[in-house]
Amino acid sequence: MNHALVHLKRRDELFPEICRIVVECGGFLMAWVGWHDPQTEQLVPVAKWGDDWEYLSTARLYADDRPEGLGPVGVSFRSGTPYICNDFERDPTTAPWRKLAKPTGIRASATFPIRLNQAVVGVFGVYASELDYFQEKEIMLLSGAAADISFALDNFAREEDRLRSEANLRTVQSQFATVVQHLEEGLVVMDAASGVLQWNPAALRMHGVSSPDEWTLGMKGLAEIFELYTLDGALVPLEKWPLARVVRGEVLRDVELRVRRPREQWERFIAYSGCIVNDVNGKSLAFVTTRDVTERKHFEEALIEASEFSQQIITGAGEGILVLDADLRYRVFNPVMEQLTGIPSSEVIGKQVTDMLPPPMGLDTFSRLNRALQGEVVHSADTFVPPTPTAPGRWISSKKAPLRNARGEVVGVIVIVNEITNRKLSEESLQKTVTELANAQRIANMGSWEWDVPLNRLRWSEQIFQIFGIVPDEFGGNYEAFLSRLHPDDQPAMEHAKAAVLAGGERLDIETRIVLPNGSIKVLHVLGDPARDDAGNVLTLSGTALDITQRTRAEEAVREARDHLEMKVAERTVELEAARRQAESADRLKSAFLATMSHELRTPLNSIIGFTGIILQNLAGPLNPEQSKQLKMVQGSARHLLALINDVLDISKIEAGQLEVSQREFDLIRSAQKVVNMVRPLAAKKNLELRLECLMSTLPLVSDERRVEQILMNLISNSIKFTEVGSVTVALDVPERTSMVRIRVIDTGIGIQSSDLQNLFVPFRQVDSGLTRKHEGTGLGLAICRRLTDLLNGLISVESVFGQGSTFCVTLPLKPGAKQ
Amino acid sequence: MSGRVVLLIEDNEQNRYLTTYLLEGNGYRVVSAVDGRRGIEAAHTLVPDLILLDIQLPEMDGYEVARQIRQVPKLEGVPMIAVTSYAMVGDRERALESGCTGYIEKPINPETFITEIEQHLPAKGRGGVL
Repeated sequence: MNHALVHLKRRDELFPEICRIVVECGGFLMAWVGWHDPQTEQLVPVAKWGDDWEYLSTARLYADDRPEGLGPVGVSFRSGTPYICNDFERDPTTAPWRKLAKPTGIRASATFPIRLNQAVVGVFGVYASELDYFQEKEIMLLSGAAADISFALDNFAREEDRLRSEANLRTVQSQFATVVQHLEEGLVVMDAASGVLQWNPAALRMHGVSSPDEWTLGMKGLAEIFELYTLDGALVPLEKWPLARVVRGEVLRDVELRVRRPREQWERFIAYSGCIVNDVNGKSLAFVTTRDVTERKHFEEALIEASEFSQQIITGAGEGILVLDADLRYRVFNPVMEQLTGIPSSEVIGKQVTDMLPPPMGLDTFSRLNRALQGEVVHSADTFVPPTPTAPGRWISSKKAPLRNARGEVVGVIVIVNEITNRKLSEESLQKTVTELANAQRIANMGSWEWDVPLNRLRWSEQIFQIFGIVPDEFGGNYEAFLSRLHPDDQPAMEHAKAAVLAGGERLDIETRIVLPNGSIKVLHVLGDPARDDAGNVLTLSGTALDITQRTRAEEAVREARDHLEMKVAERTVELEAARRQAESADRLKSAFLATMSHELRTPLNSIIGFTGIILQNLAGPLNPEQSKQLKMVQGSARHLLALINDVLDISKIEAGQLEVSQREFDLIRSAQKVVNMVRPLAAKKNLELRLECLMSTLPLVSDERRVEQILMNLISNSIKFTEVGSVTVALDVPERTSMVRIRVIDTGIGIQSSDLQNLFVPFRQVDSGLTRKHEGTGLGLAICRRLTDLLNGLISVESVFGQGSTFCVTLPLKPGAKQ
Repeated sequence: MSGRVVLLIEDNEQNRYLTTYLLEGNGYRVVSAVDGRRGIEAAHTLVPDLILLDIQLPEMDGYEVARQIRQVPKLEGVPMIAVTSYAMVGDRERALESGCTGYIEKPINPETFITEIEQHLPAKGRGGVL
């Protein structure tokens, strides 16, 4: 038996052998081994020796407490102790199988548990043909056999475990090698004692190595190629390299470093993890895994940039932006919010909404924020924020939206606040404008309208309805509805005006009468401007309608008043015309009177002067000296009388406007010469020098020749008259930059006292009455000169130094209309 | 002396006398007419060397007389001097427009009168030669 136990290494060889030995040596009917199947709870016969007459295969023995398990076998298995049945027919546990066992001759049985690692895993059963067969000796023997079987099983199990472990190890090693080979993560293993490094392909790849053969460097060799930096940019010394730290016993977890190969301008971010592992042989291996996090780092940088970017957006946004976390604490409070609230963000950040908002508004806001936290986007109605000590009152509108993380979970609320004070004010202003427009239309009695031509929709302002005396429901809202309310006589004109605008006219501008429902008539002034498409078709015609009924009536009144006035004016004009004619006839009478006077006075003088002259010429016979002297006195008086008559007539004619002046061109020099020649005898008589000075050869002048000569005559005669010694000079010139001719008569006579100068040109005011007797003349000469000069649009002036002489100066325009 | 013939048309007797006296005293033959119609007739028959014409005449005024005389071809070249006491605006011009060749205002100056009229006559000497 021990031999079998030593040599038989397998269960399926051992169990039958033990059964055979027990049966043959012990003289038993049969021995068997039942193996517990945990799934069926059956104790399956795996080996037997001896004839069982198919008892075992029929008996179906179970390990649990079903009826088939209550026999000796089941009891032994569950109790873990041998069960000895020395009288099979009487033992209470064997009832189910007695009948079955009868033909086999079984009278007694013994069942022993088989253990593996202390647990019962089966039974060893032995059957005998005699009652009370199993006594102490047999039981001891068989117990020992069961113990041997258990021992053997333990050995078998250990051997199987060993074999399985070895196989497993081989598999794991192979799998590990494959994994390491194909691992995405890099793996570097270093023998702490030797410093030998092993790299997997990923680790090599991550460190920029393309050909693994060359890669047999130790730490020192690596240090010549690599530079390691912390994320803060600090150079990592060799003794602080991840491998070195792991070798010293540190456990590393995702130490991220910037790895550079300065010579190749190569750079990656790598995360190192690692720990030291001691193997069974006591060898220390430093395992370091490497993970390329370059992409992630770049992404993180981009993320940081993006975050800064969004920060800038938030800071620079024109809207107020605030962000609350899920606890409704302020996390972001941008400058616009500071401005809107007048509260610096430093006083807000970290506080809860309820800390910042007073209860009434807070409650409302709180509920909206909570809705946003539930995932709803909440728009708030325009709200007026009353002024605070730090901020003026404002209108705002706000929007609250859930803030979600990358997984879509709501983590807070973002609130966007717009100040709409200006818009509100504009709206108010617009509303005010609309109201004002309506008022203006009402006050002006003017309405506005718009006609959508293609749709034939005519829209009227309130005031037009007022003017037409109807309410909107009574109006058809199209052109025809409008036309039908016009006075029938005015409809064709409106049709015509409308057609003209539609055909390209610039503006509708028409006065038309309308008939109100109550039959009264109003006058409208309708103005409309067309809006056209590119093809020139009128899209809309819009404009105004002004009630000009009052104005029209007023205009009629004005027209009547004007007509009346015109009539009055006409009447008055007739009267004036009559008066004028009367005046004219009076003038004519005066003129006729003057002519008659002139004629009637001259006619007798003609006789007096003529006959005196004839007698003095001795044509009628010789005169004695006394007669001659007296006749000469008559002659002088007659001539003086004639001169007086002439001058008085001249003055009268000028003042009556009777003296017409002609405008003809003549040579002033010739005229002056003529006059000088006429008065030369007078000058010669007084032994005076008489000169005419002019630098030009001709001096054309457009004026009245006779009157100019009259002026010259008067002035020159005058100068000769008042000059006893010296000269009289007549100077003619045209002063520079003028279009005037200047006539100066300069004498060396007695001169005029300054007190007399102002009266010089007044009729009958000859200077110093004492001189009158001494100096001939009517006293009207200078007055006539003055009037004639005026008549010729000229000027006359005098300068004089009393006792030294006088200069009379006359300027006349070279042509009529020439400036002075 | 074959004195030149002067036709004097003048309604005022004193003036007629004065002028006639003065002209005859200077060797002229003077034929007088007291109004325009007679003056024109006389001009036709006489064809004088000079006509002295008063303007203010009864019935037909001097301007009209001048115009009618000027329409007579044979009197075309006869000098005709208006001698008038009209001294109103345009008198001289009207006279010249009507056909007069000269204008002397009344009252005449006996000392210069003859000189004035002789300016309108062809020179004596020359006429004598012809």
